[in-house]
Amino acid sequence: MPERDPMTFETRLADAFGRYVVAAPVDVDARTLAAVAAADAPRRYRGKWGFAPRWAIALGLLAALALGGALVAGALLRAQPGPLGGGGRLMVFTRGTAIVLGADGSMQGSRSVETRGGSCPRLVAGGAGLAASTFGGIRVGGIDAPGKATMLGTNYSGGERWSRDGRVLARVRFTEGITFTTFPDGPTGDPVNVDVAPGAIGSGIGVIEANLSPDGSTLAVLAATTPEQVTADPRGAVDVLLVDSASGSVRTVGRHERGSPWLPTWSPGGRWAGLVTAAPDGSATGWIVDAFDGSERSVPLGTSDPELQLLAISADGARVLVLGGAILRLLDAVDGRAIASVAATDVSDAAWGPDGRSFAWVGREVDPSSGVAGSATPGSVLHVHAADGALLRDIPVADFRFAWSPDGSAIAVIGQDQRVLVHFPWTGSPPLAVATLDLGGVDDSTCIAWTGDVP
Amino acid sequence: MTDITIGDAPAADATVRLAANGDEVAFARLVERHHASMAKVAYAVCGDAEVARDATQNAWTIAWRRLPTLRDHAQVRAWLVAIAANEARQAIRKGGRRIVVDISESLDAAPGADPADRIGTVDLARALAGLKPDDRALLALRFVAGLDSTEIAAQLGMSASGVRSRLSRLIERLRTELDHA
Repeated sequence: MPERDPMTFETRLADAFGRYVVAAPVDVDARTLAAVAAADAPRRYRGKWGFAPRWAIALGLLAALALGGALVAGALLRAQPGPLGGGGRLMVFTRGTAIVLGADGSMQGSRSVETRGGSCPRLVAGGAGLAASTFGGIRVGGIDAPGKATMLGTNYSGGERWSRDGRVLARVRFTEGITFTTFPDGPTGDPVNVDVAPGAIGSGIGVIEANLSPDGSTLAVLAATTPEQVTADPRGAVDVLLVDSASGSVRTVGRHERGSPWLPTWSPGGRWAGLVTAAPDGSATGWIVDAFDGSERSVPLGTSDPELQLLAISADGARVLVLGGAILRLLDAVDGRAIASVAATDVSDAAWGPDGRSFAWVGREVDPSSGVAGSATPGSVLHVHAADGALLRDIPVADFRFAWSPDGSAIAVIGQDQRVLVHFPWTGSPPLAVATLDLGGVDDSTCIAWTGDVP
Repeated sequence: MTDITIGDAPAADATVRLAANGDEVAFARLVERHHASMAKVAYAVCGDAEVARDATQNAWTIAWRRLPTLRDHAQVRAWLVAIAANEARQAIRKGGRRIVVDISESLDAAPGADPADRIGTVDLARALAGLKPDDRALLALRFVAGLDSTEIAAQLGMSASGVRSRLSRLIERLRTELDHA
């Protein structure tokens, strides 16, 4: 066989692939969108809040036993007694079923929750309730009061942002203002709204991006200076605003004329807000805003703007985590000095602990000499580091989801044996098993969340 | 033989933005526009129409949930086909499926270029069956979706040079196998 030119071979290969995929199922059938919307479809056999009757869960468990472990709807989660260790309330959700555990490990609620497109429900009102996004709105209800729920509108083009403890909800419209919602009488009480008129937001043209601080006190807003930024092209000069959720008052902390600012983010405690701009050469610059006095400083992020995937600021504003170009970097947020870095692939999440002592990420380290990832299973290891970059613990996990305890001392993961485990990276104590995904294991709907104590 | 995206960028961007904010009609438009590309990529990875169908459906569910996190709306097609490739890859791993080599002469009998210069579909299927799912996904993104190394790198969290290097090795391997088939 004669030697062929590589380009010619690539052309022939593309041609062969084209003929090979003729057999692909390219038609959009009814199942395609139905699968997306399935979680939003009315479930007639359930109550107003979509809670499955207890007998259904019980029957499911019995049937599962009778069928030797066959998958039966409803029998998905099993709580295990014992204190959480990190305090607060922990929610585990999978395949439409949520359980909520109290700090002492007691079951606070277990029910079916309908969500839009498989999104995760949230612990709200300090863990006293659950909120779920549906096509009809956001349903907010108590975890111990089935049937009672408040429906909040979702016609907010800029989306919804919750505080970490679920006490504050910010609903953002690109051009029609912002509404902050709180639940002073608990999740089933009447919510209180604070509206911010569009004219009060910067130049009044609209919002490009916004993000609520973890404590819910402040919304960081990147406000448009031209109408095109809202409707078509977000690039251009941007006003940086901080909006107080309790009063609706707006502070302008600066304007960035260049670099198409994006990615508003917050430190865990809500003291520091961050955003990113691009230099003319494409390199990314982080800007860290002190929410207390509005002052701002820049830090070079060591990656290009198109490659940047994540910017996370430590609680004290002194360090930033940057993911870009398949490298996770820990940088000094004052001078941009690299404190530590790791080549990594399949990085699916990275976050600082609430107390700022540590950070964690899920992904695979890559050997820089060989380019080979360190694990055969994507997203199989949660790496927990001290704030100075020192590795505290590698934790095998079933997937990328993890949740810090409210005090930052513990971290919840789904272990490879399908148990929900609480690890204590700083003490080295053995992990606590707090729940088990009984049947079916982890799927794309599975999530865990951990919030502070009920007030 | 790659798919070509047609349409003006601002309108496409608006569609993605609306879909990201929960507009179901806009999302349906995205499905209409990109479903075929995703199904083809999924099929190239798994070699099974039913698995590809399920993988593509799963990919749409994921896309609906994660669309608000997509920053560069111009990359929506690359993002979607990468999700489909990943779902197909995972379906193979979970199900232990292998590519079924279908001895179908009709596919290779279609009119076109000189048959002597063609790579047979059956030969390609056999060669793909010998590759790891990760490698098939890479090839599918390149030769079925038509993404370049930079786009693939952005979707897979790799460096562009790493993608080029892996693709080069894979192409060389396929060349050896297919030229001797």
